[in-house]
Amino acid sequence: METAVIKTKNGISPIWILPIVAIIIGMGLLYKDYTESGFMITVQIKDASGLTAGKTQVMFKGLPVGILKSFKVTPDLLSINAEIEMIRESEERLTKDTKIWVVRPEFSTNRITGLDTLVSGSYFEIRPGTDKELATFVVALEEAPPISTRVPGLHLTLTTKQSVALTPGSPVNFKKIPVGEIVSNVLKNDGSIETRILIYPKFKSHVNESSLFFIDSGIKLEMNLPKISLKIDPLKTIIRGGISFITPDDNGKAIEDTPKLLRLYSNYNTAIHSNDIEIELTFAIEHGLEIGSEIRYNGIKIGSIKSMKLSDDMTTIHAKAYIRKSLEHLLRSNTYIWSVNAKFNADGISNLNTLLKGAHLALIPGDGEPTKKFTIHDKRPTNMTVKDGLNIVLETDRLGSLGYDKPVYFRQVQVGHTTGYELSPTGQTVLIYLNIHKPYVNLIRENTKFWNTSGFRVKGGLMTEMKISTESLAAGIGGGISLSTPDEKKMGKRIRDGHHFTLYNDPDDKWLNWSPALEIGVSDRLLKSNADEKKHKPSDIKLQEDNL
Amino acid sequence: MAEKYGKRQTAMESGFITCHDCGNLVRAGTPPEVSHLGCPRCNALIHARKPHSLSRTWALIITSAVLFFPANLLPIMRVDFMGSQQYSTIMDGIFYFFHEKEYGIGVIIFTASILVPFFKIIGMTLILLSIQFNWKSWLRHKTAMFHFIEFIGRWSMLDIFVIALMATLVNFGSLTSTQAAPAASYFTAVVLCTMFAALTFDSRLLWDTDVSSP
Repeated sequence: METAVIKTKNGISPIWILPIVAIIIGMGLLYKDYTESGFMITVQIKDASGLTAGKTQVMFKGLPVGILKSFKVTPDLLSINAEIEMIRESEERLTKDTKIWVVRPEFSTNRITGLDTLVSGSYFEIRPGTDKELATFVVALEEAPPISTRVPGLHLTLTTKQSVALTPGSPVNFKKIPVGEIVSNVLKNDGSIETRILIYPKFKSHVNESSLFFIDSGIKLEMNLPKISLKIDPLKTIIRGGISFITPDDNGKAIEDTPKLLRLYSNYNTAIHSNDIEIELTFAIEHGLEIGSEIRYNGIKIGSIKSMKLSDDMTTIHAKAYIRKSLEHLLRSNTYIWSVNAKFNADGISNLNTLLKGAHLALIPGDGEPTKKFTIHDKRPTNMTVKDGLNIVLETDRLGSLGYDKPVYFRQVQVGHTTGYELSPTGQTVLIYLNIHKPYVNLIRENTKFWNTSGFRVKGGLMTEMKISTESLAAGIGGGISLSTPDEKKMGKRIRDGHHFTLYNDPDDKWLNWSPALEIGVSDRLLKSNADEKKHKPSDIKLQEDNL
Repeated sequence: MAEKYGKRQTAMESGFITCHDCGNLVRAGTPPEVSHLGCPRCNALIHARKPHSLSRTWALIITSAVLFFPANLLPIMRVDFMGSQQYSTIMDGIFYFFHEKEYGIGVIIFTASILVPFFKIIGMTLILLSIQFNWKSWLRHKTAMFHFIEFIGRWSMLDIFVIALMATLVNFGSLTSTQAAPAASYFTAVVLCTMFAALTFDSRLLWDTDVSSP
């Protein structure tokens, strides 16, 4: 049997590194635990349902900053003191005005919140305060507090007397895009509701002083024949409600965070009319007007009726209407407003469009003192003066089938129209007002003859030569006026506005043969005499298109 | 006292050493020094007793005893469910199963994860102390206990296997996922240390106290 070789080895076994490392790790963990161990705060809550000691966390912007350690019911049994261990880093921010509340899932018709708590369980949400004084006892809020004004963005306060179904968190839309949210609603002592909203920073530029805020109605059906429009807001808005705004003036003055109250309008229409001028109208009951009926000037909508109310004696209606602010100068004491309805009579059918769209109001501006109270006439004015061209008066013994807007012919070419008629002040004749259109003004001279071309003229008799004539079919049926001017030497001078002529029933044969050479067309020289007499009125009525 | 085990003359006293690998009985001289000998048959290092057995075992047992605390106090598993994280320690899991009336599973986990490592550390400490201080009673029981510890050691890894499986199988992105938490490493270290302690320990040392005593 061999003898083993002897080797020697001394020293401490390197295995001892292991326990040393383990002890270092253990010490490290202890130290970490000591430094990271939080501090205890007490939060008074009303309801501990859904909270679990050791599990429920305190979240700050979605990150856990503390954990619920234990509950204790207060001796008066009214509330519960929750002992919460907060991480050490939060110690300096846990001031007296710190807000803590419990986030629980909430399902209601207008919103669903706290969905995450369904799986994670309820949790505490914390918002640090700004106070200097530190606190270890906080009373929890009943519900989530409104967004702090320190959140970046534009904070505005809207006020309305309407009852609104707006909940915090609902969107504020601009062109149907959410650009902000509703922060809170406060019912004031005077019954108005103050709604605080936040516009997110990147959309701040869309709001300026001209912005108008209104409540999103969700579904809006506009039955305005012949146009029917159905506007449906995003489903979210329908369910949750919301506020929209429009900014009519893109270059308006920028708005800053302000405690100033802005009006919150109940709907889009009241919002866009908010700057309009309100006028009062009085009219008899049978006008066929209704709320929303338009007020037009030269056929263009300039306003609408806002409300109607029967007067106390039940004979008239008092209405309020909006007129665009830019048209304020139309509203004068002698401004003439009348209602336009569809008419069927021997004259023909007029104002057919009102059959579909309902009656509307037409307006002719006057030049008196500014006023806001008007009486509605049921007829157009006797004489609707036209500024252009030449206005003259014809005298005749009877009106016949003439009326408004009847054509005036020269060689069967229309050169003007009747603008109105009335009895002469003495009642002996009828005065018919004519407007000769601008290019043809030169045709009218002192000795120009006018005759009625209404109906058919039958000359002669059955036994002799019979001559039936009419200017045109339209004139034959509807009535009209013809004119003729004598040759150069006899035609006389040019006349001024308001000149009186006689309207004959039949033309003299020789009138029909007159053929003067007269300059047709617009010439400064010709119009000068007219223009001088006319009062120059501003006609720069600008009808702004809604830029919405 | 030693007579009750009925053995007087040992191989070591006679200058013989068995090779650990091939079992060859080698003459090493009397008394064998603390030295390195080679087996003439298989060329493995041979020792009369496992070298530094006592100190190595001590080191490993102390390591596992130290790590036993973080292993049990820190969370061993993290479950992310719909964005919310839930940490649980070993005891949390055991409580959970008892709470759910799954006593069988609860007992198994308690035994494998807490009882066995704890028993191993206490048992080994006891054995080591009895060698260190020449306690000569209950030697057979201590030997039996050591063999039991050696045998049961591998089962302590049950927990780690469960977590390893969960982490790979229960992983559905942000919906739910399972991850090992810090205690898993410490627990693994505890189990490994106790297993190595059982390996480095030479059970003959127990009997040496009996023999070497006057």
